[in-house]
Parts: sequence; C-alpha cells; structure tokens
Amino acid sequence: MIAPVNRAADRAAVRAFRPQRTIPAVVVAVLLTLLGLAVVVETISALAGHPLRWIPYDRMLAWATTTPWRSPAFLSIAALVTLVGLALLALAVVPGRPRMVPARTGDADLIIGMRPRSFTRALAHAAEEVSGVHSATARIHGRAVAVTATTSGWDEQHFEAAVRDAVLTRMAALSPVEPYQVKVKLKEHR
Amino acid sequence: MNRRTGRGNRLGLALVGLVLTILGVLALIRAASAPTGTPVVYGGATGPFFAAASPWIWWAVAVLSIVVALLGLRWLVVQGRGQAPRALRLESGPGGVTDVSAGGVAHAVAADLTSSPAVLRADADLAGTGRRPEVRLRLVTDEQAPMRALTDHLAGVTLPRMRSALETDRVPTVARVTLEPPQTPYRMVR
Repeated sequence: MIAPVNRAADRAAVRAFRPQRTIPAVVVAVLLTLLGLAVVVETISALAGHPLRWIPYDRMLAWATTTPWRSPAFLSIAALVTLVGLALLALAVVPGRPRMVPARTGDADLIIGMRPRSFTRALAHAAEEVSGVHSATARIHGRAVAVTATTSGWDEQHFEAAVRDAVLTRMAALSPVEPYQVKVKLKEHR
Repeated sequence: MNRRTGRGNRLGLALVGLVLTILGVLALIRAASAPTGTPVVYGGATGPFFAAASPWIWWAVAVLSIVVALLGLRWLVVQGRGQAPRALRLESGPGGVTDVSAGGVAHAVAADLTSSPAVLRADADLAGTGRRPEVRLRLVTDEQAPMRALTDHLAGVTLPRMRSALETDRVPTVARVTLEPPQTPYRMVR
C-alpha cells in the first residue's frame, strides 16, 4: 500500500509546503521601495536646485555631528540594526514548520499535502474504531503524534497495543513522507 | 502561490538581513574603537570628501536608489505570481493562436477526479503559463481510503489527460487534501 520511495519526490513535497515568508518579504520590499524613492526624489530635486527636504537631513546631520560614537543613542541604533538583520537572516534560513503534512507520491511533479487537522482527525477516528474506545483525540508534537483515547475498560496493555496498531495502520495508508512516532495515552471512561 | 516565490523571498530576506547585520556590526566596531567623545560626523574629512566628489556622487546615489526602488517594486509584484490566469496560450504562430480557457480545463480536472471513489469533492485551478502550466487542486477525500488510491488515480488517469489536453510533457501538480470521514447513513449512539 506504500508508494515507491523516491527521495527527490519526498524532498520536493516537504519543500513545497514550507512557509513562503510572504509577510516579512512584503514588509521589507515596501520599505526598500519607499527608501529608494525617497532618496531618489531628494537627490534629484537637490541636484536640480529645488531640494524638497521630505527627509529632514539637515537635522540628521546636526544630530550626527553632535552625537559621539559611544553615546547610548548611537549604540542602541547600531544594535537594533544588527538585530533586525539577524532576524531577517533567521527568517531566510530557518525552514519553518510546513503548513501541510506531505504525502508520499513517488513523483516529484505530483505533490500532495494533507491538512494537519485532517490528518490528526483521521488518526483519532482510527483509534475510535477500536472496540472499547469511546473517543480519541490526536495532536502533532514535532515528529510525534500523541493520541489520547478514552476507554471503558482496565486492560491498559491491550488497549494501548490495539490503539497504536489502529493508528499506525491508518497512518501507513495515508503515507506521510516523514513517519510520525505514535504515543498513546489512555484515560478511563467513567 | 509559487515555489519560486518562496525561494526568492528567502533570498531577498537573506540579502537585506546580511547588509543590515554587516552595517550594524561595522558601526558597533567603529564605536568601540573611537576615542571617547568623538562625534559620528566631524569636520575632519567628511565635508571636503563630499565637496570634492560633488556632483557626480549624488548622481551615483540617485542611480543606486532607483535600482533599490525598482528591485523592491519587482519583489512586491512577484508576490502575486502563481495566481490563476484566465487562459493559457498553447500555441501562437502565423496560422493563429491556440488558447485554452483555464476555467474549462480546471472544471474537467475536477470532474475527472470526483469519479475516483476516494475523492468526495474536488476543485482545480490552473496556474503558470501556456508553456509551463501548473495545476492546483483542493480535494476532499475519504479518510479511510489509502492515499495510494488518490495518487494512482492522479498519476494514472487525471494527469495523462491533462498532459494531452495542455500538449505538454510535464504538468507539476500540487494538491491540498482535506480528509473527511465517509458519510454514514446512520449515527451510532453510545
């Protein structure tokens, strides 16, 4: 029931659902555009002999000529610039949590992702099909799925094995690219 | 959304982040090595440097800023890349042009997919260009059906038809799947 393993296809599927960083990209792009436009307008208008002075650069120069290098104001601005730069680098480099659970297809041109809520709900339903299980919930924690099942019995070992089996069988059928470890927690129904 | 956009966003964020980090760190190093009390800008060399380099340096600043503003604008514009076009041009030549309506193709794909027993509902969009078309699918599938049933139907039936309809060898496809329990005609009361 498992599609043939194709590592390139698996990688493509994982990559396809990584966050695209649209919001930080739009913010930075807007700021870059505005900064570029403002500097162009200022320099060209000054070169033409009619400086617009949208940017208070006389005041900025005055500030720079009176503020020492080691003043707290200058140091905190430099530190802030460094931190913003590092934050942007982190956004660029950290892969981020995929918004979908990629499924194995064996074909790099065919990418399938399951909604995480759907995936965990399907696993919980599989656990609920075990006789004696009243209800179950499942959650993704990193690379593990935690299944909590409410049972009407005391045979913990039996229920744990049965629930784990049912969940693993359903998971194999859904064939996620990266397997999840299954952790079963039992609660007794009163 | 487009995978190239995600990669571009990360590249842009990395470049801007790198520039800011370098500027911030250089400023901090300069501050640490400056004698106490020296202002950031002082009479020494700054004034004569700009006086000697005028006016060409301001033209250089203007050109550089135009480039920055254009890059920012382009970065903003590509965020919309990957949205569905209304028609894809398959061929254009002296004999005329061949357009295919994106809505029509998408409709056919969706109808074809719902013939699979694993698929409960399907919705399709075409993206990309006539030469490099892409398919986006939003599917609701039966959570009890193996994923293999869906990939087999897509790879064996739907995508070959798409390829011949769009007259291309590759149709990259991304499917976002919501899993739902199959509709049961009765409700179990516990």
